[in-house]
Amino acid sequence: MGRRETKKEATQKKILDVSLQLFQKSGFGRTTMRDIARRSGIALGTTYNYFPTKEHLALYFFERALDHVMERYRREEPPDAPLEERIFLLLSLELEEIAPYEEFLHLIVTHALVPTSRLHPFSVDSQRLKNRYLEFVGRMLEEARDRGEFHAAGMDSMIFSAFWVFHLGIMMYWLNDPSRKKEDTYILLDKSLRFILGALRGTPSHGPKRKR
Amino acid sequence: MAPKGSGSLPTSAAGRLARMGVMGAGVIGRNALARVRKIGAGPERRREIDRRTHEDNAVHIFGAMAHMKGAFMKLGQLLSLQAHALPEPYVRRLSELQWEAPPMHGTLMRMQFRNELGRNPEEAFLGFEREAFAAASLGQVHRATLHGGGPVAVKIQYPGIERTIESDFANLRAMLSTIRLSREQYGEVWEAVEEVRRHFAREVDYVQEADTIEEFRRLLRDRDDVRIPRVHRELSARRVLTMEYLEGRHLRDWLATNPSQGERDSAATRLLDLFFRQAVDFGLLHADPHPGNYLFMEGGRIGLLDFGCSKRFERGWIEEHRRLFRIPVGDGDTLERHYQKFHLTDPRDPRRAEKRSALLRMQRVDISKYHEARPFDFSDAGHLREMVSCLRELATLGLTTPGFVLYLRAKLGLYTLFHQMGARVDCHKVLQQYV
Repeated sequence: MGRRETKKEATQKKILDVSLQLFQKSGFGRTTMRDIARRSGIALGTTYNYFPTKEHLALYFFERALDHVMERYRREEPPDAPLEERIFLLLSLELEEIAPYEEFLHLIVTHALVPTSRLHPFSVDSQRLKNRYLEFVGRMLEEARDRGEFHAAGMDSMIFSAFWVFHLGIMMYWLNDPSRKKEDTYILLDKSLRFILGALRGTPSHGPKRKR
Repeated sequence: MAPKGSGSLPTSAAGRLARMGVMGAGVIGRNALARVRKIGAGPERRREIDRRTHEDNAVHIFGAMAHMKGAFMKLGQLLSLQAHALPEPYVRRLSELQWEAPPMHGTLMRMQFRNELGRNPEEAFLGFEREAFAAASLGQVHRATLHGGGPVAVKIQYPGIERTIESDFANLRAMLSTIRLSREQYGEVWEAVEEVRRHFAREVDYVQEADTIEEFRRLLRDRDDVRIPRVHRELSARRVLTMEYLEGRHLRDWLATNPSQGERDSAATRLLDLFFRQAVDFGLLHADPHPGNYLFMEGGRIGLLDFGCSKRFERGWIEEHRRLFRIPVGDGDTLERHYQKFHLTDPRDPRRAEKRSALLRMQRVDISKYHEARPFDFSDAGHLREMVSCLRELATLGLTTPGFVLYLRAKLGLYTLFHQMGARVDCHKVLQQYV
């Protein structure tokens, strides 16, 4: 990574950090790019250069979160685990990553649900994020297939669309989960993964084996 | 046991109820089908149809129970102790149920551990086995090694269990009605359900279990022949319990080593002694006499596991309990007076004769072995059947209290264990120290 890029990243991160604070304090809608520039001590032009809109900032937040999640996943991936557990790990890492920003996420959910919003999970602008994520999941599926966990027959593009929706659903559930340590989300995740992958394999899942 | 269905854990009350509705419907359907099939069939064929129907129902019901983990796993264990009240195929399925339940995978297990103790098991221990070595009633048990050395067993509870318990029991009652497990026919099953429900709230709290274990360790510190695991408080919380790992064999594995008659008799004698020591001396009973809770260890020592379901008795109850054993066999008047103290009998009761005869029968079947100064052979299946039939009769006639039920169930569980061991015990000699 060049020095220039490192500096660019540092600036982006600074802008992001400041904007997250401002969003949580004044709300997503009421915070302006001018506020963000002023508070970060970065020229408004430069700020616009990096992030043409607040939505771009929010997307950048998710891009960075995804970077961290993928990095951690690669470090923590259990070697002998079935796909259920791997996807469970991936999603739980995502939830852990976004947990400190729960308030911010509540704020932008309403924006993200507007079909014309750049943050909308099916918008052109969020395409890149979605593709990166699904590519990662696709590799996990391929590896599972190579391990002989299931046949390729079920792996058409619909699976990925369905997975994207599933993943968003889990996020939404988590945001509104009043249970202790949000454990209901994890139970739902465990339960639905076993069900979905069981269906994908065409056989009921018995989960990991137990030593006797 | 390989769980039926997807192996997922239905957590919402609606989900569980839906599953049980399907289950009940299946049972009713099979029973109806069996009735139709039996029309015109000979006696041999009819028995075969009954057997097959029971078998199908057993697979269905207990498959679903294991699937539901938690309360149902526990209930399966409990019912398996009273298994002789149920047709044989149910018994077999139940005995399978008591050893296994669908497991948590490593990532979920670690998350639960982290939520409770604030760090990962690999950090908390020097070594930690990701795969569980045993199923516990409410979770699973992992082997680990302490940083300071020494093997431990780490019991980790399934997430979300505590909140689901009440709705589980409500659902179970609904299911029992659906499959027409009538009160009269299977009174014990109903009682068991009620009793487990009461004890369950305590059992989900591993901190309380740790307290009980330590109390038992204090009470039994003079007994070299009994081992109770040491608790590691600093590695335990409400849903995680770290205990010393005891090396030993469970009943089935122990019996597979062909212990001699003497060894079996000796183990059973010590277990019976331990039972009275608890019920009479301590007023605190390790009340879950499931075979999985005993370990047969080197040197003939007995390991006690799982203290989540312990029961405390009041002093007055204990005294009366001791007196019961002193009543001469066949002395109906004294027996009746004894039960009057518990308001269970009344001279004006229209069913007095029936009750008296039931009490005399129980005395003959159970208490008499404590009056005879010679070993009693528990391998006699007729004795167990009689015991169960007596208990049912007492329950039907309203001659039991919740305390009695629990005590009798624990005792019956012990007798069942002795029966499986094919043990002979001099009950009279054991009891002498306590009455």
